[in-house]
Amino acid sequence: MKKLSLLVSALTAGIFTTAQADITVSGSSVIAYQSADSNNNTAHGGSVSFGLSTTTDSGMTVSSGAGMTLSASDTDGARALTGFQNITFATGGTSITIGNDVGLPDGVGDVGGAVGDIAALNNNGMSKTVGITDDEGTGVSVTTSFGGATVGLYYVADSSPAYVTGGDVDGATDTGTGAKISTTVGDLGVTVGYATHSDTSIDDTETGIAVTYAAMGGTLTAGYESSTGAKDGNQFGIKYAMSLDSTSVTVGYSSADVDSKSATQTDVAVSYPLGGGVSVFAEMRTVSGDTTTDTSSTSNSTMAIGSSISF
Amino acid sequence: MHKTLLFIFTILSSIILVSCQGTREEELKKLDKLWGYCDNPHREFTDLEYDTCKRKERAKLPSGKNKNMEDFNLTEFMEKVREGGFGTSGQIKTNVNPYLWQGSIDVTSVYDIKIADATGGFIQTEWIYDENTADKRCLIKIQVISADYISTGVKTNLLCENKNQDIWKSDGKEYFDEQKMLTLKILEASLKYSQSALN
Repeated sequence: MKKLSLLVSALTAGIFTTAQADITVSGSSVIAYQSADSNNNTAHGGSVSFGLSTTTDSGMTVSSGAGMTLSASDTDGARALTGFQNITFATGGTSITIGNDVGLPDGVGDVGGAVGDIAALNNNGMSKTVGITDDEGTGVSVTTSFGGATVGLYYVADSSPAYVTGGDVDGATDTGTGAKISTTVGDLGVTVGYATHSDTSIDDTETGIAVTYAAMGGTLTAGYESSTGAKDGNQFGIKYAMSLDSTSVTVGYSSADVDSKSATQTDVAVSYPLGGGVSVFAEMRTVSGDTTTDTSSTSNSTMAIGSSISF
Repeated sequence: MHKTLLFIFTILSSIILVSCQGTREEELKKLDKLWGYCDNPHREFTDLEYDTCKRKERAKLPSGKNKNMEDFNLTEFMEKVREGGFGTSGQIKTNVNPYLWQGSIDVTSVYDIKIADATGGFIQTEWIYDENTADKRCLIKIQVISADYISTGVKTNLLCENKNQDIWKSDGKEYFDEQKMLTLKILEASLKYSQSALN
């Protein structure tokens, strides 16, 4: 047998100039029956997304993406073209995203949601939840590995860019910053996030923490977050996901106390795979306490039954 | 003005960080196991991508939630179509570029070869040991996947095991950088065969 050191020398002996370009594509479609008391509807939509990437001679991966979608929960039924707004450069343990649609790390502790957007359709919803005024825009984000943790740093120079192809780097009045760290403590996964947003009005901050742990044959996730500024309060959530044979069951609970408004939300989601990328699902959301205004077409309790297909 | 400076500083700092070599993909995979692929806090999905990801996840059996979540590779598919890789039976024909094949043989020639299937374009070495670390061994798998002489026509895989109480077990690591360098070495070795054919 040859020595492993020979292998190492072979691996590092030379660099060959090359470029590796890839275009990936994925898509999905969904159709469902959706009910909010006596208001019953169908919902259907789908999307196709393209990932575009190439590798430089030095091994750096440059990627972007785009897609088209018809959101099943979008009541105006507008088809949308998305993407091409930022580019990600990645090499070694670090990636940098520059452009528009750079997201601040808010919502880290918001883990109680277990249903998709169709089951949430026509639900009154909690009247106030934790958050910042704007959580994305023109900027830069950096993600890297650091001492066993994954660290993300975010800076948004213009939260409301005037056009989708660029933003105001030095003249915008609404900006944001943030950081997100994920690590493990024993078998526990921990993520902490902090985000700020400032504009001509009151400035916002949001701090969140989420933990996840494999327990009792499933995965338990819990989160807590608080915000100051336009939305002043706190929120916690807990979610448990498990499998019974092939059936996946997820139960989530959230409780928010924001701007003197208190509400709770309970989600139940069940899904079953049929193979070939097809699954059927049933989901239900119930809210109580201070909800948004109840109308004849909305309800505190909504549900959806349907099928989704991934391609 | 200070915002411009902050923006430039952030980008410059980022570029410095990029130069640090690490294992981001490994870190992401660790987080996948904890949070799930779609809910990994450091995989940045758009709403559109997240919806598709969750639908893919929902369609998988529970035991395979995090497996094969990568999107369909259109480039590889088009290469196979262009090469006439799909016959009437729907089976993919075996097409192996001779330069990439010979380059792969050259690179692995310093090791004992367990499998060298020229028709299928597959090479696998015997276990490779290092005399200074007797409790670790590795092997190389190489697959030539293209009939054309292209840089994406060869894939390499490096698998290593650690010995623990006389039992060999996978070390669980993924050697992305080493595999990339091995691929580059094969491409470099194949170049001389390509050039000699042109001459």
